[in-house]
Amino acid sequence: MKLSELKKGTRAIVESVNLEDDLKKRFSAMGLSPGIILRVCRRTFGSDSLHVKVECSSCLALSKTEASQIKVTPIGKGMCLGNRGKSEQSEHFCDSEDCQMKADD
Amino acid sequence: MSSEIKVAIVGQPNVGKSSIINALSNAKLHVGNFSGVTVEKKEIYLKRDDYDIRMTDLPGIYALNAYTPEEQVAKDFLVDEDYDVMVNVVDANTLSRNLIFTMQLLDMHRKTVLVINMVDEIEKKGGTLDEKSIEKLLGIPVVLTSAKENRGVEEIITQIIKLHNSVLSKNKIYYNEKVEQRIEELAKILRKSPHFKSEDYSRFLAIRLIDRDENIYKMIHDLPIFIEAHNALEKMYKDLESEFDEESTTDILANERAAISYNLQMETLDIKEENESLSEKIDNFLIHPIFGLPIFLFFMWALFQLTFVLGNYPMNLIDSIFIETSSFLADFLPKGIFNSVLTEGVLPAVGAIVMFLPNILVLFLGLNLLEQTGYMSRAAYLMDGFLKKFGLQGKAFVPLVSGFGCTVPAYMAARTLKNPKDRIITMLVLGFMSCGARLPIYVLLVSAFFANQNPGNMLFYIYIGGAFLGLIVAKILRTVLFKGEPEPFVMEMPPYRFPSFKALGMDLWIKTRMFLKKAGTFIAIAAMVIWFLSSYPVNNTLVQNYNAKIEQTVDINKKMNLKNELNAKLLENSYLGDFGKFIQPVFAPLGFDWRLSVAVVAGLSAKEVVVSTLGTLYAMSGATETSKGLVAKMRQNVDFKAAIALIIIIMIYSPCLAAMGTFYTEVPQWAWRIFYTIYPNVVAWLLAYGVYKTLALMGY
Repeated sequence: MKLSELKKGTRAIVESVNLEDDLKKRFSAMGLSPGIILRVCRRTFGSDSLHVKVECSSCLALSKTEASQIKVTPIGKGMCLGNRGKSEQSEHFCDSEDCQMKADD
Repeated sequence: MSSEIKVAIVGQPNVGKSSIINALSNAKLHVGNFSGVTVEKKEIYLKRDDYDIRMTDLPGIYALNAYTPEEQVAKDFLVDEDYDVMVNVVDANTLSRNLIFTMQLLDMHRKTVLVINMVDEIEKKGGTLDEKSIEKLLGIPVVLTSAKENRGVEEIITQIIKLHNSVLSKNKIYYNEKVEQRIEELAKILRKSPHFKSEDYSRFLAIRLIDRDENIYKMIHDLPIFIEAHNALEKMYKDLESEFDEESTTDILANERAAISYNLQMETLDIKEENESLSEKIDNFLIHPIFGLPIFLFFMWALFQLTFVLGNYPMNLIDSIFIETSSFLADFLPKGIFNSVLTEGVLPAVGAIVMFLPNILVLFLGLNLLEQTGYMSRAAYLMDGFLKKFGLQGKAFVPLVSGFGCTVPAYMAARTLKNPKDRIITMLVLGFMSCGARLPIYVLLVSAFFANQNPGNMLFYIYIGGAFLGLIVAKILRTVLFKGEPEPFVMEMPPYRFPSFKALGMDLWIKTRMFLKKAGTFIAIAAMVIWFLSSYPVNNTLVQNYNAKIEQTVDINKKMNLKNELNAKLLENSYLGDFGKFIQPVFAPLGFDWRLSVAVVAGLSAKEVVVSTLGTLYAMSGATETSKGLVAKMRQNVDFKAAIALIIIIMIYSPCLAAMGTFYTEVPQWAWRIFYTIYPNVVAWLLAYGVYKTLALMGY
């Protein structure tokens, strides 16, 4: 589904960012790229802009137009999990090998 | 013998670079511009042992793929300039994202210190960071700091010196084998050109080229090896994209870097599950979907109230100090031209403007707080939808609000906008955001003509009214001249931070010093010019006639009146009087006398000159002894409708010379420069005339 349709407080994994190259690089430099987990914190009145939290750390503001070009898979409500030791990782966090494989294949 | 170490400080926005610089002891700060562009360049000089360390603080930059013109400046510096050590500051809270940028920097393979700032915030959350592992994995020295707690800052300098004296360590970051193979292949081609003999430099350029960096592509465009490099590159794009099944090689490199940074963070950072942070709790209230905007408007209203109320206390004191000093000097110094210039020309003018320093400081303090606490980017988020309706986007909000402080840095802040159309619209309407230098004129007129109403409210209406007018003009420009959508809006919202009093204090001190320096030099000289122009030529027959009359009169009041009449006539016959009467026809429909006309025109040089000129002109027009203050004189001499028209003119017409100069350097096209120079004045006059006529019809 589209990031712009994600309900407030819902976490999701980013599947793809279908924006022009420059903007895609920009989003990725700000921490929003395929594979990461984000959460919608709130929207403005009329849902023109969204406030999302990326990877448990940084907060981004973006507008609906761009958010509708970002595909996500919701993974439920709640706060994000942090990374205390690898054993407690959520299955949605890729551990080192997975990530390497993903980058490699 | 001391030796010099040149250091470049680089990092993403909001990582606390400035607070680290502020925390360095015995450092001399020099603020200037990068050559040729109006981006602020901060240089820091300090001495440790036998070393002179010169650090350049680069603008915050998210990645080496420069997105905005401002980021381009930082990138150019990193790639082209000569420096010995690079200091990369990152935020411990957003480590993996920051490290992606660090990877790009490490591609350059230069002596680098990694500074991980804000570790205190990680520790507060119960986390730990293993800097030794990062050091080992990246192969560069790592310093953990907390600028807030003044921790680790001195260690940065120690590491810089140590690194400077050691040989460059081996590069430890390698990409996937398939990528590395291409990098080496391309680097080999590049090394055929005498420009890129160095192994490291050719490797860096090869990586940038595979990353589809347009600037670097342009750089090799005119070289003999271009065709060979270009063909190899095209093949690499195709092969890599199919091997990795990605749309672009950029994505491949981005994924590689993200994976490495992510692993680095996993290996070294130990942090608990996230709780709702204080920032989020504050956000629930401050950027609430419904209450967010009213809260923002309330803050702005409160700021203007404070500007007026707090600024008013020292005002009378400063005013009386200047009046007393000039009347003391007038008696003390020998009579003559020097005495007159000083006590009738310079001192009243400088006093009239220095009086408003407290107001200006309160306004700047408020705007600084907006910025430093992290509220500004939230306000931008709130305003994004609203601004879109006027053809702008949320990010334009930051330069627009800085315009309330000073138009010059606001023009520079517009560099954070990527789209040239967005930038030029923003810059064309920035003049509508009344700057701090216009504040004295408003305070003066509001005090004189709206004494019965809440003056803080009036200031708020003037500022918000100007801003609103600016937005309407933006909408018109967008529909008529710059068709198209505003650029996409994406912006980081840093966590709320408690402002540093040291930084706030420093900033206010710098503003005060600059203001007093301007008052003591530019404004004083302008006042001198105005004084001479308004004192000469002296019409001797007129003086003789009046002196004769005055001697014949016995009544003291009548004598006084005659003296005033003489002064007024002399002023009218001066050079300035002639000039005033020459331009007055332009302003006559707005009800301005020649003095107001002169003040408005003089205000084109700097807005402070409006008040200082009024100070000189009305002081010499011989008002009676009982009404010393300029406020009272204005009330006596200016009609209410004209005062409103004057407020409108000041709100809209061209900003000062310094601001116009900045606009010209930022906008190279002559068509826009000419448009920019003319249209605000036309709009200002038409609107002032309309309001003046309307008020006249309403019987004011």
